[in-house]
Amino acid sequence: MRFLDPVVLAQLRNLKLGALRRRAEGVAGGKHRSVAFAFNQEFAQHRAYSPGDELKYLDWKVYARKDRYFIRQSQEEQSLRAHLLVDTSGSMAFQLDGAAPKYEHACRVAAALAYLVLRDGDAAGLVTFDTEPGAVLPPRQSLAQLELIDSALAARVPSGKTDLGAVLHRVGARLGRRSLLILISDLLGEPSRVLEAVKAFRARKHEVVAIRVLDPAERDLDIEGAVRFEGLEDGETLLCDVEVVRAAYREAFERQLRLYESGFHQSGIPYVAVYTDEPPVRSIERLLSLFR
Amino acid sequence: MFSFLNPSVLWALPVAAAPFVIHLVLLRRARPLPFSDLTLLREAYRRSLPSSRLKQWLLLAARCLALAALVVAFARPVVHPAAAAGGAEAESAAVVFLGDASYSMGLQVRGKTRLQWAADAGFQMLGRLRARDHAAVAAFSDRLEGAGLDWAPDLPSARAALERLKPGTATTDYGAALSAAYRFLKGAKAGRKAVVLLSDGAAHGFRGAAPEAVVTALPDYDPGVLLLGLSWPEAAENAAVASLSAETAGRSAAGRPSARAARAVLTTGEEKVEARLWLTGPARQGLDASLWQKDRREDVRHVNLEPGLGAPVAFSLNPAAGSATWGKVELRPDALPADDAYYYALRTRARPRVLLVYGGSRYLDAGRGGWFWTRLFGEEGGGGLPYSLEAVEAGRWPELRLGDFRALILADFSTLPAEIAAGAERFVRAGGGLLVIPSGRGEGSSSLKGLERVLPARLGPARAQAGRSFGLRLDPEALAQGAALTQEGAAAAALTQGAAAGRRERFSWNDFDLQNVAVAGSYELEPSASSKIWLRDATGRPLLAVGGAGAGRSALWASSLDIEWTNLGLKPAFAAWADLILGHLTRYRESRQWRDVKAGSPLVRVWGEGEPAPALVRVRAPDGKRAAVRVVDRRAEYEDTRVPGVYSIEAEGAEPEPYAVNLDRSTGESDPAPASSPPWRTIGALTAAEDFLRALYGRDARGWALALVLLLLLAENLLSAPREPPSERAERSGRTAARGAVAALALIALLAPRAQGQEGDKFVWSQLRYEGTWDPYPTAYREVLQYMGSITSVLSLPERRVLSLSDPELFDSPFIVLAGRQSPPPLTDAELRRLRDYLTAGGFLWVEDVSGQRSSAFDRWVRRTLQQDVFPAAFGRRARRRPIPIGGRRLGRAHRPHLLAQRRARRVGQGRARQLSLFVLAGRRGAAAQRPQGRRQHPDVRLDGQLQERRGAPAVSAAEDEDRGDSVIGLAFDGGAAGWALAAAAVCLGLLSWRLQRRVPARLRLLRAAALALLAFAGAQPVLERLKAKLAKPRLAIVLDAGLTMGAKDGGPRTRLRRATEWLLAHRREIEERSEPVL
Repeated sequence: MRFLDPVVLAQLRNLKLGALRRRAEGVAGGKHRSVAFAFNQEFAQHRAYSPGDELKYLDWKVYARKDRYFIRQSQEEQSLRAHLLVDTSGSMAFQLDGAAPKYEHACRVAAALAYLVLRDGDAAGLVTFDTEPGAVLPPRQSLAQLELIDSALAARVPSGKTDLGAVLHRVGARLGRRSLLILISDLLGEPSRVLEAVKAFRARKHEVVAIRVLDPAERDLDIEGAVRFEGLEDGETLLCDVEVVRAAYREAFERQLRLYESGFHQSGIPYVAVYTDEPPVRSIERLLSLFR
Repeated sequence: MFSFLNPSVLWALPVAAAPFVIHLVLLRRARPLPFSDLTLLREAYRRSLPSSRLKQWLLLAARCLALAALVVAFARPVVHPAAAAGGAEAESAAVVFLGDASYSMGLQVRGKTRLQWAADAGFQMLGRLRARDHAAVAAFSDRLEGAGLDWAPDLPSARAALERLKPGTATTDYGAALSAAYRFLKGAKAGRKAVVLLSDGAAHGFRGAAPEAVVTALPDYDPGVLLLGLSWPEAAENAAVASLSAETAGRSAAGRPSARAARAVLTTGEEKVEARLWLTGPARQGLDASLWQKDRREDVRHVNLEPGLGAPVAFSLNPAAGSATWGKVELRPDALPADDAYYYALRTRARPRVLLVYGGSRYLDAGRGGWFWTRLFGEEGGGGLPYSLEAVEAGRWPELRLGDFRALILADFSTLPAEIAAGAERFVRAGGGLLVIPSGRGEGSSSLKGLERVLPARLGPARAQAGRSFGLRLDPEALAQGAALTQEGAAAAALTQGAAAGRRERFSWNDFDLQNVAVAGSYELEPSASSKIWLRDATGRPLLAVGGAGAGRSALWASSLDIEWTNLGLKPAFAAWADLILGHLTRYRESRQWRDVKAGSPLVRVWGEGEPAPALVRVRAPDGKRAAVRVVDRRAEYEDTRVPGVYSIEAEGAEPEPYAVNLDRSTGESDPAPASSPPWRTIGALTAAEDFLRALYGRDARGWALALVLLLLLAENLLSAPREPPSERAERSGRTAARGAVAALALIALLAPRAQGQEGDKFVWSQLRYEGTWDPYPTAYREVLQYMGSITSVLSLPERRVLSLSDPELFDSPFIVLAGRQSPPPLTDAELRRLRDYLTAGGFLWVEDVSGQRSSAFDRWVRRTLQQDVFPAAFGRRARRRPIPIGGRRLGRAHRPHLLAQRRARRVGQGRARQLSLFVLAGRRGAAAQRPQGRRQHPDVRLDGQLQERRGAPAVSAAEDEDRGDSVIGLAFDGGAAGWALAAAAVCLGLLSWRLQRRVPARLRLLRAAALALLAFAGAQPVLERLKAKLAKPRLAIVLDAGLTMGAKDGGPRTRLRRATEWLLAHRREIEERSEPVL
């Protein structure tokens, strides 16, 4: 797996989603049943087979009729369905001086969280998005889902521009049941729209957790000399001497940071800003520490 | 108004735009950086416009201005006082150059006289004048010399006038020269007026007055006239013979006759000559003062001198009686050779001969007058008095030649023969002296018939005294008018008196109990109108009348000297009486005449009335010039006495008369010490052009420019200091950079004093001091250096440097002299180590054994030390058995000492090499620039060949330097206190900047540090000195010793000189291939 390695796995062993999970459960309001009884044969829909699906859900009757593989999906009762919403827009590709791009960090965090969710026997799904929702992996309970999430993340190359508010609205439209949404993004854009979209998730009874992935350079702008900044998303450029703008930039950045903090706080959305210069596990720890 | 001393540097002014250009270029070449989101950036950019961008532009401006100011500072700006309106005339300058031609300007500084330096400075200053400026050049000493001041029509003629300056013989008087210059400038129409004294600025030129007062008291003094004088870098040292005095013929130091000295003179004929020496500079040991008589050195004294006037040095001189002698007291020539000799000329006169002609045949019998005369003058007719007496009877008159005598005594004639009377009268009229003593037989006036016309009185009748008339009185008027004893006479009289009474050695008439002199009988004296009465008896009657006739003098004694008439002959006062009269008659003053004339004042010889004056005399000057001088009115005068020395005046048929002409020492001209607070602005004699320009046209604004740079840099630092906490990376690299900067500073600090200790490219005679007689010949180095300077073009410091092995300066001295006679105590381990380091790193040790023996204790000590202690490894055990030739091949391959070399042996002068052992002068291997401590490897030096004589004997060697091509640049600082202050301020600013900029990446901090270091250097006025030039071939000066010792054969068939020459010839090709030798 690309975004999980044994070392990380070992470090994750001591972490438990406990509090986060309980928070999501609290929302579910006692509908949760044990995993053993959750297996439900109530038919929901068919969908095309994709590699990695367990063969036992293959609908042989349909195969016999149509000579094509379909998966028989059942309406499962589940305590926790976690959707990992990973931003793959162009700005996530930002990296400085050979440091890991934000996207990579985001993926590592996502993979680690998926692992944590799946390890507990809950279902984890993935939605990547830039301008449009991209790959969608519906939540599954199997650990094999981890492999799928990993490859799906690896397959994406961050590009394109983002209108985070709009795309979140569209993503939210697709999410069916009430779930735990883990938004992993740099949240660059108009904060009010982002907050609005996230609040919309809340309105649909989704439980939302926001993880903002940032590069330290975006915070400090500790670059020297004159630089021609090229926007990763819109392709525009800005030529200026960093010395000149640094102070104002930091101020603006700080302001935005605080705006997000207060906005999320008002919406009751756990929010953490993580930086690419820290290990992903450390980012997750900081996230989980919010629930203690 | 500004002008620049180094305007060419202003071409670098565009560099000041560098920060701006760099800014633009950086902006243009901004590196592209993909950035996540530009929204915030755009917003920040918009918002930062007013403050940050203004700050940025200010920063840029500060940087540009700082650079511009730095460039301007290097261009040496000079601020002019605001020129008064009035066009070209007000703009022009009138400058009077006054060249000091006193003899103190002959002081040698770095191989040139001060006057030459001053003239060079004058050239430079002339070169700085502009077309509309005027210059006048004149020489001065104690007055303005030449035809007075006038504007030079053009620059070349002013230069020529400067070139004509020569040190003269007169003394200095600034007042006189400045007075003339001020008067001259009064009429000049120019905006700026200046007087430049091209002088040594010595204090003696003020003639003891306060310097400021001398100038301000001048009649035409104008404070608006800029007064400039030269200042000299070296403290001058000079030793001089300040005066020479002779204690002659009984004249003691107080000027009164001394009987003992007189007796010494009269008995031995010896003269005591006292020289007083003068010294400026540090105390000296073993100064040689030698007495020369004619062309022979008679005596040498080693004198230890303290600064100032030393104690008298006494010499004794043995002049032959009746002739002249001359000579000098001389010191070894030093920087100012003119005053190192003091000449003297001594003329000794023969004793005047006095003839006593007596009439009575028994006059010489005991108790008679003649007996007293002969007794007074002793057996040989000399005695204590400076006359020789010959007594003859009247009958021998025709045999006598009166011309040989200076005085004639006629005594005891009852009747004077007409023949004698006529002869005596002729004698007196021709200039002789006549004393008449009447006979005791009472003939009275008739006895002196024929002499009335020359005698001062008529002789009346004899007057026998009833009782005894006691007392002899000296006429006080006569005493006042010059009736005095000669020095010798006074001394002799005092001596006779002293034997009788109480050993008093000073002459005084009061000692002689004149009241006890009895004059029992006498003649009446009827003095003529023109005569004078010198002696009277107790009752006031005249006893001695003195007068003259024609060219001569005469005296008449009213009594006889016979014992029946007077007891004068028995009394001690008789000697005084005789000397009083004879001295007057013979016109004798003193036997020894010292003739000392100030240089520049005329030689005057006046022939007295008694001696024959020639019509023409020849004058011979010490420089060989001869001149004929006409004698007018018995007086000859010779003007041209500019050269000090012994002149002689030769008349036809007479012995030459020497005259000593000496430089005037009375004003302290030998003391070159500068006035402590001269009334003029000083400009460095060696940096005249710039100082002059600055003084004449304005003030140096360099310091201000640099201060401006500092201020701007401070502003720049403050502006550019970031406010955010540093990132860790910047901090880390900052520490590295700090270490680097500290190391660089330390390096600079190390380099700077070293470069200063270098003395440029001058050869420094460095002598090693150790315990013991390290300095057997304290002044030898001067001769060596002088000689080296005269035959080669090697520049050398006039003073040596004395070092001990523990001195840090040791390694700055590529050439070290170790001299000695005895074996000093063994060296300590530390000293040995340093000596070893020194030699292995290329130092050159010149060992000089002065004992003159084949194997002296010193020689053995040196060999032992070098062999066993310094280079034990090189010699090993085997070498221990046989002595090593110092500096020879046996020093072992690895340890051959590097023969030094003085790089500028460019060409050797035309003079013939006759002296000295050997100098090998080749390209220096930058030994000064490398610190040999701790080094064990050896310089790549090959000794091509050496012919090594035994011991310290002269050798011929050739050395070559392998890496002669490289050159070393040294750095010296010349900024003075202000420069150092600026540099210190720059360093402070550097530290502050380091502190302020600690959040900035190291690159930028280093850039700042570099800028500040540059500024610090600029403030300290660095002077780059090329310590070593690129030489295509090492220049080699071969100086052959042709002294006496080179004649030694050392047991072989050929002399040392012969062998040395043969070796040279044999290796000629090799030497020529490798160097450019000059013999």
